[in-house]
Amino acid sequence: MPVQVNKDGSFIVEYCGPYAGLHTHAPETLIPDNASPSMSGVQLRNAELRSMPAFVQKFAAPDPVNPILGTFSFLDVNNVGHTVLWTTRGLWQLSFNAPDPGKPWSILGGPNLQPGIPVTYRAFANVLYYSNGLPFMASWDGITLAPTSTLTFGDATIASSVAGVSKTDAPTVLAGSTGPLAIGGLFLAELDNHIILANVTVLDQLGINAATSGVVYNFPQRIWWSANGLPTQWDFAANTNAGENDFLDVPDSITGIITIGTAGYIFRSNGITQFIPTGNGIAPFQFDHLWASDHGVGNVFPWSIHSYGAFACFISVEQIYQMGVNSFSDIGGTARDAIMADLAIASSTPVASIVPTEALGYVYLTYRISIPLKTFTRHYIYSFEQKSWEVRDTAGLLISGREEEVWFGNLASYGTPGLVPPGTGVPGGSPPSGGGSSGGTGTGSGGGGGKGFQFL
Amino acid sequence: MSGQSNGGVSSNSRIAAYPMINAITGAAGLYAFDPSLGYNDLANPSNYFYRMEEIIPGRTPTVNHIVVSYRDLGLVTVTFNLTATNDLQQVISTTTGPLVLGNKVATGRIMCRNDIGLTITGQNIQLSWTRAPGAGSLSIVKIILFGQVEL
Repeated sequence: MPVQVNKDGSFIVEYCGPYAGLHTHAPETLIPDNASPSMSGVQLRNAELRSMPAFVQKFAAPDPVNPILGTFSFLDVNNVGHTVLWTTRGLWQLSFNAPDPGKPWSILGGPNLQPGIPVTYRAFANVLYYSNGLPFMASWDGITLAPTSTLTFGDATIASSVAGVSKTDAPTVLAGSTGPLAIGGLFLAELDNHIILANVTVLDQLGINAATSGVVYNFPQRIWWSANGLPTQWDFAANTNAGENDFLDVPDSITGIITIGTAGYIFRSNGITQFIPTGNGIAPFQFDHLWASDHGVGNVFPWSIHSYGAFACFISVEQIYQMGVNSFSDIGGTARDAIMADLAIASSTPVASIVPTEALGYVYLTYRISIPLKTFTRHYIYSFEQKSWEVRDTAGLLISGREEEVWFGNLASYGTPGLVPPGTGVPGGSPPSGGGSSGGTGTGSGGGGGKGFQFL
Repeated sequence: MSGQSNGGVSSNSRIAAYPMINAITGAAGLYAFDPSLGYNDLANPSNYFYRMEEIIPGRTPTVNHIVVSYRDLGLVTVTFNLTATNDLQQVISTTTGPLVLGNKVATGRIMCRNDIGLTITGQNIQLSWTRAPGAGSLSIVKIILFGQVEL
């Protein structure tokens, strides 16, 4: 509320929520009274100005030398959940519901991954597929002892990827190649039961089965999709429902891919191309440039792009955007300049995710940009409900992969399921029916009255 | 028929996990902002700066105390600061020093401290607060500045 000055010269200034968040786009005297020119380590949820939740290590990495390149959870065909992570040594699994704190991860192995490049992953039909820019895609079904990273064809040749082309068909698919071909990419998506790789890398194994060396071809403007419902069929000489498309009419390379509802979007630094299923088996997708310009809105931070249900977010050169199937809006707001300034001095790869809950039972639908800055990571957090940005710094820690919601079994340090507010011992925030001495005022009926611990 | 699953975890507990590495030692781990452990981060401070107040442009106001409304999440130590500028074009400041809010056993109730004396006379007055790492869980609902301005 505005400053109230009384006739006698006395005045009051009141600061309360809901908070408008970080505001760096006007002098400090001109910003709204619920905005802040500077903050750190705070949470603005539910109109309270709160110190941020404790940032704690839940699990040590399995490999103390190699950073974690990503983490993910999926259900296998037996409806059993698996939580995995990647390091350059390959794939690891969180061991059981109550893992040994000293050794919570078991190695599953698989091909070595590139350092410094976050893993792209996708679960399809209860199988996890992943790649990280090298010419392979691997998979794990949650059942086998190790990931699958090879594919055997009818001509008895073997690709060193679950996305590949036989030696027989290789010259047809990639002119001048010997084959077999192993296919990988920087980005992985799924639409209309096709697995899709974008910014593609192909290894010509030069006639050697399961070879991991040979001639590498990079196609930074290409997307390549599997046949419908056949995630290991990428050979369009054998199945015309598989295919590829090069975006040679634009000057830059692919920096991300997402799917929202029934449409997909391919991002470049300066443009976005929409693709939608056609129902035509030979040409399963129709591609439409939203703009094919030399300069325009695109995604410049490859791991800033993330989708959640019917909407997605990404960072362009000049703004942070939220997009849906029929909408496109900027969300950088009054924090944009601060975010862009920090992105410009990031010490390694910034990442971002849309996160619906901070933890089970604690809803906070946010888009989170994590920027490593040499000695700490700064997290800019946008609340879709409040439309405001808050800032949290995590000292001494640098982010190395995309944030992801994962299942973790039963941690000793965590009340399960849901949250048990300190002081009440009651999940959900209300004391038991009839009141009680803990929490709230205990004067209401059937819930203890008062707001009690609605927040915790 | 599919084979038996290799391992697995319960899917009824989840958390938003951040892959991090220690900037000095290189040790890696999965971290999370975990509200079930409270809001008392042991390694990171919290601070917040409010709008800078002119009150009446060209006049010199005096703030003489503040009222803090907060939710009791247990004992927390916080420092409130006021800064301003004077006619000599200098930045001046005053602070409460470490101030303890809340109760040893959190009640979750909204409580009020109206005895916080914090005085400054100057222009472009700006309030801020700082909570040191490990100083407790802080949750401010409202702050009111009281003062006087020459008319």
